[in-house]
Amino acid sequence: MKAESVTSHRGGMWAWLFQRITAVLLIVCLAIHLVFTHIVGIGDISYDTIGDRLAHAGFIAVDIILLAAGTFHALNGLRMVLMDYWFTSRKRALALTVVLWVVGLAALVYGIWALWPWIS
Amino acid sequence: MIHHDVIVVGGGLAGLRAAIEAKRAGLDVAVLSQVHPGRSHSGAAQGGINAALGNHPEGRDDSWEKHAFDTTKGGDFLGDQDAIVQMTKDAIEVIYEMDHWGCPFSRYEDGRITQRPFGGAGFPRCCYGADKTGHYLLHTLVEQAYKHQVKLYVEQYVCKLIVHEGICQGVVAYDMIRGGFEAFSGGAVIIATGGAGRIYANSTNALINTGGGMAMAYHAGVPLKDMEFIQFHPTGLYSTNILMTEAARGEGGYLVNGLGERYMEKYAPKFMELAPRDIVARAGQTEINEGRGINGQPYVYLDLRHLGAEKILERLPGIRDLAIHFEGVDPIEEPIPVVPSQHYTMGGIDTNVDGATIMPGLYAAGECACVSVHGANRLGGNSLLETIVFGRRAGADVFRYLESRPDKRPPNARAAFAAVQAMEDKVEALARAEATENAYALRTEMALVTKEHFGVFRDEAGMKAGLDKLLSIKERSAKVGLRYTGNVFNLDLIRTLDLEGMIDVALCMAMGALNRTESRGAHYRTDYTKRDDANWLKHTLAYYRPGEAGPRLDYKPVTLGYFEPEERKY
Amino acid sequence: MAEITFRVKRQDPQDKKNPEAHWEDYKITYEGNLTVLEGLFYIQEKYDGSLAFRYCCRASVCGSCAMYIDGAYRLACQTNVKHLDSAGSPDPVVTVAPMPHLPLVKDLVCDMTDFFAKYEYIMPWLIRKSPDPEKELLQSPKDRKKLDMPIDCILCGCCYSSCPSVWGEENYLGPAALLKAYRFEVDSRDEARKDRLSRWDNERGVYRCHTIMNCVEACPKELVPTEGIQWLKRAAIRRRLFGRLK
Repeated sequence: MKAESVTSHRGGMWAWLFQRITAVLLIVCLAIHLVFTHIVGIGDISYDTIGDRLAHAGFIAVDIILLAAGTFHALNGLRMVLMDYWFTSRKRALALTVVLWVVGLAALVYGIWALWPWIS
Repeated sequence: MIHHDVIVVGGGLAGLRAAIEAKRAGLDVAVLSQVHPGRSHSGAAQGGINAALGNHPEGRDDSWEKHAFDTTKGGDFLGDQDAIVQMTKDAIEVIYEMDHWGCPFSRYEDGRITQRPFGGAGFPRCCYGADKTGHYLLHTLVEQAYKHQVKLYVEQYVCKLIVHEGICQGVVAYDMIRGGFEAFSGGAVIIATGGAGRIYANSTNALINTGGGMAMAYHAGVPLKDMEFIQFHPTGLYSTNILMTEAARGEGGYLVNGLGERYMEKYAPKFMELAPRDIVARAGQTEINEGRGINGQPYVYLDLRHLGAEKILERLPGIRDLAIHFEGVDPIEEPIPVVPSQHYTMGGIDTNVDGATIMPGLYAAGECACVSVHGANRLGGNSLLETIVFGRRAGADVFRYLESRPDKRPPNARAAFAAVQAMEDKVEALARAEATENAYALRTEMALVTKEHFGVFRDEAGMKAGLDKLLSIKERSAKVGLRYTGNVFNLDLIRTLDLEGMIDVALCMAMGALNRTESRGAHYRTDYTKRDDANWLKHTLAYYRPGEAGPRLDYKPVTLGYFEPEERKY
Repeated sequence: MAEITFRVKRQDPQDKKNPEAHWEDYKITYEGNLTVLEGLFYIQEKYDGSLAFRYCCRASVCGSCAMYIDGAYRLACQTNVKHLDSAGSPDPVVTVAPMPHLPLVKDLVCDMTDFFAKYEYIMPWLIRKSPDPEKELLQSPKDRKKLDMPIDCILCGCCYSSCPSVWGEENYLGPAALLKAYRFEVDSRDEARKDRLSRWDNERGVYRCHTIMNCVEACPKELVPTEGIQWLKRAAIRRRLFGRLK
């Protein structure tokens, strides 16, 4: 073991912290999402009813948070797994992180674009 | 050849403390150890370490003078009183130092270090961390050794001193991981290899406590002092001799015989279970010998049940685990079967109060050394103290020695190579030898002889017979050989090389014991039951005689000056 | 008299003729109790002087003889063969192997160099900034109690060998070193701020721990390294975001 090989992986606290925060957000937002999709609006799922619901700013916020938290949580989880295998060196881990951020942001932008009609 | 200013042999408390002190003085220090220092036998110490801190509510009037008196009396007045006073004075300082280095002592509500009563002590002055004090102290010193960047050579089996023109200049070690012998040269060598418990079959000691350091010094011409004084701990587990700490009695545990009596009433009515160890061990052995063991079996009970689960779990969790794992007995539910077991060698390499031996450049500290502070019987809690106090003193004195010596030439390389060559030749000869004797069988035999003939009770006829057996074992040990000649982690080599030293140390013990026609402390003779200050208030010195079977014995006076010898009553 | 077979995994990488791992069986007869360590000495003395294993205290306090015995991490000295699964069978067999996933020196002896390098790297000593008092550093029993678990570590290496995060990333500090970091960071007397923090607060430190809990199962002293590691993760946030020491 070389000392620099440990310190080269700086940080990690934010990733860890946000994994926890997003986990909590997922529980809350997913619960709201599921309740309103499957219980309150049961048997009545159509483009229009969902559109009506999304007219409320609150629901938009929940869905955007759900999207962001879900994306982060999933990709960071994937990153943690991959770092145990091929992406062990600092360079590879960094490359992986950058790629996953690009993918994640792209997904987020795409998701927000899909919701745009109700946001605006 | 590897060079450091100071070579410390042994990574237990004494060795590490010496190394840290020398390192802090600015020397380049290396510690060589047969195991990783964190695995040293110091870590098995349980009960605590004595210092007159006066933290215990009943210990407010305690002082280092009283600690010194208890130590002197406990050792049956054989200890050198100047050394004892030095140790008890230093005690307070070294405990605070260990605390400042992070040693996790147990605490009182006000945050101070806890203390408990211990055998032979007039006040509760034994500082402790649960019943794992040795483990905590050892790890604290290992941590400090890393902090101070003491160079650690781990798994080095040191087997020979390099002596040039009468000056110690290093050691030869077998590298267990890479194989082969290597010379470690240095301006001074500190031996801190611990006791020789394994010369007994019924020892509480670790399996590596073979007295190797004592044997090395002895073979180099340094005398071993007071080797006949072997401590038997009253409470080793019946089946394995694993230690059950004196703290078990310090916390209020009873010793009970087969009739259900607390038999210490008969032997030490005032101190009861907390009399010094020699007295409690003799009491236990007497009960067993006279048929009052449990159901006539050769053991007695250590009963902790009345202490209650809470106290046992808080103060004695370690021995509870040991009793469960190794004896199948939970002390909360059942009494623990115990027997007196070999525990400590009061004697050792003859040193002065700074750890220096008669050989320039050679120091010794800890159980392998004999300053002597324990005299004829060590008090519980004083061994940990000795390691740290005298380890520290040795480390400091090495610095003074290296600064002051007139001859500052580097160690003689030729002497180092010759010493390595001598070891290689020896191993070569062992490998080629047509072995007619088995080293392991001889070791077992020797350990049983010492156990039988040089135990708690000794007498002339028994010891003579024992000595004859030891001499014959010594003769036969010349005919052992190696069964395996590989380089890496060769236990056959290590255990075969151990044998010679173990037998020689046992012979020093045996001859010293046979010669001493009195009873004093742990050396109790049924044919001379009284202490004889007129003739025997003196230290035994055993000198190696190359080519001869046993040592040459000599004697030197005990340093008094503080306390007059009196009869011991507890 | 009882009889038992020890099936020992032997390997001498230095041996040019036979450097591969192989199993060898040894029959052991004994009376009363037998620990695995006693069995190994029996083999070394009676059958094969070349058998290599670590030993020292034989009382489960030194951490030398950690091995993989009958498919579990155990201390050889602490393991009574009668307590193993095989004990009931008429022809009991005990398998003894070195700790897996560690480089091998010989037979049952693993190379612990990295293990101790990581221990050293974590700065395993009390860090003080203020001058020492004349007497002891006061510590309440409540604060002292927090140390009870981590100070019992004997550095045997079982947790380290059992941790899948270590298998995947050789530079991960591992449970033992992190438990040691916890032992000092949680100590009320320790005054380290960022001294040690940068050493464990990273993805080869605490964040590599995925709470798999193998270490907890492996520990022969029944310690819970994961608890310490989780505490450290929270401590990093307390220290970096709120500037609080403990």
